[in-house]
Amino acid sequence: MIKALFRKQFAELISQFTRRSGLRGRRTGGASLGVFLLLFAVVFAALGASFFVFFKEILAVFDEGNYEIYYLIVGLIATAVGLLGGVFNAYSSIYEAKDNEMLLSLPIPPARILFVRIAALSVMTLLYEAAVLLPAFVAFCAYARVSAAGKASAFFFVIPLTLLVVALTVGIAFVVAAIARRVKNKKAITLVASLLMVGLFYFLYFRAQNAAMALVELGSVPAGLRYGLFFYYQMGRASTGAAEGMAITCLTAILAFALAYFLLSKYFLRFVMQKRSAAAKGKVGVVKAGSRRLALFKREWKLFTSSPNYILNCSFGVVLSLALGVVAITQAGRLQEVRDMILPYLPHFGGSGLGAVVVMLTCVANDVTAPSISMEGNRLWVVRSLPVPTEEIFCAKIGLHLTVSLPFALFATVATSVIFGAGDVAGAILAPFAVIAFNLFTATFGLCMNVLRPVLDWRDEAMAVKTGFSVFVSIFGVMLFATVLTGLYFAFALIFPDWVYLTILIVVLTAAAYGMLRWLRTGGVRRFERLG
Amino acid sequence: MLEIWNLTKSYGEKKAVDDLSFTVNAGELCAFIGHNGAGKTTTLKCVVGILGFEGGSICVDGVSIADDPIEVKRRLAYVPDNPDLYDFMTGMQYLNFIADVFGVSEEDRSARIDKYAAALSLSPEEIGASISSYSHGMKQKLALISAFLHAPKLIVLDEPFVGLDPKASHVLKETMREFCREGGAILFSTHILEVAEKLCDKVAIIKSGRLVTFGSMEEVKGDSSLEDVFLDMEDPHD
Repeated sequence: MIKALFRKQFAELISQFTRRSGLRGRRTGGASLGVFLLLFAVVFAALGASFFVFFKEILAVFDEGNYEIYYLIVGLIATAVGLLGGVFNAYSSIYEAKDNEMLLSLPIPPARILFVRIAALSVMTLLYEAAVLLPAFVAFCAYARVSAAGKASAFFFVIPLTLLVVALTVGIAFVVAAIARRVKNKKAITLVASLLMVGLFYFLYFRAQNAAMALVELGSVPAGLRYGLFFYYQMGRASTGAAEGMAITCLTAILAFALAYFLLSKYFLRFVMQKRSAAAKGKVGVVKAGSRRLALFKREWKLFTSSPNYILNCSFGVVLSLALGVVAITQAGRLQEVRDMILPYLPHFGGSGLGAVVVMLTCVANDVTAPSISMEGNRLWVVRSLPVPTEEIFCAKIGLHLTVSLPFALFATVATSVIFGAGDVAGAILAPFAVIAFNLFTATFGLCMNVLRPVLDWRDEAMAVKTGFSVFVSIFGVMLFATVLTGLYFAFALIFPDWVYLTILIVVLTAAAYGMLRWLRTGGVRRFERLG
Repeated sequence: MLEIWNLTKSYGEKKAVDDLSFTVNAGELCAFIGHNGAGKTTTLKCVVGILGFEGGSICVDGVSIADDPIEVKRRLAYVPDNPDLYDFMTGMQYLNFIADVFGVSEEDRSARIDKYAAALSLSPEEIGASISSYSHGMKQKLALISAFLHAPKLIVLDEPFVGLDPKASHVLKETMREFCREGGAILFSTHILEVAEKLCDKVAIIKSGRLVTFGSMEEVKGDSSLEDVFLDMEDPHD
């Protein structure tokens, strides 16, 4: 029985990448899985490389006697990453899983259902943890002067830390689920909780180096932190070769995991069987007519704004663009200093081009169109049976992407152009157009990917917005592309002024978007209309 | 109103619908019956333009679905067997969306929503509530209201009575009759043979993708019941 449950749970996970649902469940077979694994390896390596650089810089702060602080910080960052990736996974795959009722109607002890779900969650958490701990470990081995025992302990941290993070994850997810059931606007709760976790991660990430320096200056970890962050402090001690530190780390993690599993197995059934909501009653609606195109756009808008999963996973670039714009205004002096530092090396540097490229990097985190066909799910029949040209459905989806992404992206572009590229009039005029062209490109690219690889038979919305093949390819493909554009900008700035680069960029991006739009109108429409 | 000629639809090697032909005229209510997996839903999805097909033709009100699917869809309405609706909308928002797509005026949509919601016992507060809070039966009722909203010429219903309470079932039957009396046509699939027998003018029976009998109810069942006719057609060794 447990084997069958494991098979189901992991088949569900893997099938998101190997299946083209809607085309009568045709499998794409090994090719898609191969591409996915390759991309996964590339992404893992890219993330690993960036964390390696980050941890290397943190390690530079320490002298020989303070290495326990390093793993205290690493542990906190890894925990934040694990929570960020895991809490809503736990929320939707344990407490609000669509197949809870079906499985509970079968003669399966609830503890076993829970065990399998927690095992799947642990595997995902392990991957998140490894993305942080592996580069931290490599940097530690390369630059820290600690004993072999300390390094051996550091290698195995991934296991106790995963257990602890899973325990925290199911606990926080339980609280979120319990609150969400009691309040009317559960989506707002989910959104707020998600933003808190994103905020926690960025707080730790950006404060890590300063915190490390402050702790080094103190000479030792203060007693308050030793007790308050007991687990992480013991991790730090273990990394310096203290055997009892490793034993306490493992024991604490096992106890936390066992306690979480015990409590959850006690309350899981009660929680799932609770009555969820009262009878359907709302305010009397208003009959209001509008155009077909507007109705399609409003449908996309409502779908987007009603889903915290969709908002958080597909429009985080909006927050980054806003932050960039605010930083550009509030830190104008420092930006101009950076500009003055660059000028001697890049004689044609204008600033507007770099501003536009940085804004594009923030827009990479907007992939609204990438899961937009998948989000139709079992409701696809509605638009397929209505007298609506498929191109109009595509237009509404691209329109939503641009509506979400562009306002703050343009704000950031104007802010960076004015402050960073003062005097570069041609560049300042072209930069917003380059950002618009980039967003049009990413919107059409995401939609093309999703038309090619939709996931329509999801049971949990998070599957569609987080883990589909098209989402993965869109996010990381565009990320790679934007990185190349950044590199090309600096290469161009050696020889040409910014406006030349921006003009070429606008022409190339618009041409690419036009090509994809043409395909969407022909091949894309045909593929969409085959989804049934 | 609906003409299906030699319809053939395959999934890979398997023929789900094989050389199927029948017609439903204006004012007629036609039941479409067959065992599970016989090809009923596939046929209905081909009729409403959700699925493409390899052979044959389907015309609604003289317009071919292959030539002008948008025009055909303007003339019909479809309710699937398990209507998954937009649970991110309220009932009213959903009805407004459907009416906007069909270009129904505010007066007409208001009058029709009032009429069909009252008939199917869906209160204004329930229509104003989020679809995510609806029961299966309420979703079914909302989907039915949306089907009548643009006064289509043909309505295609897949198992429309599943999930409805007895009163709503009764009202739906009356509404279907009234719709056909006013010149509309309805094709619906059902496993409830008594309902088909009492309600319909015509019946089409499909087995393994092929039409085994079609005609007026009297022609098909003769002196026996529709259930007897249907069971006689089933191969006991299947």
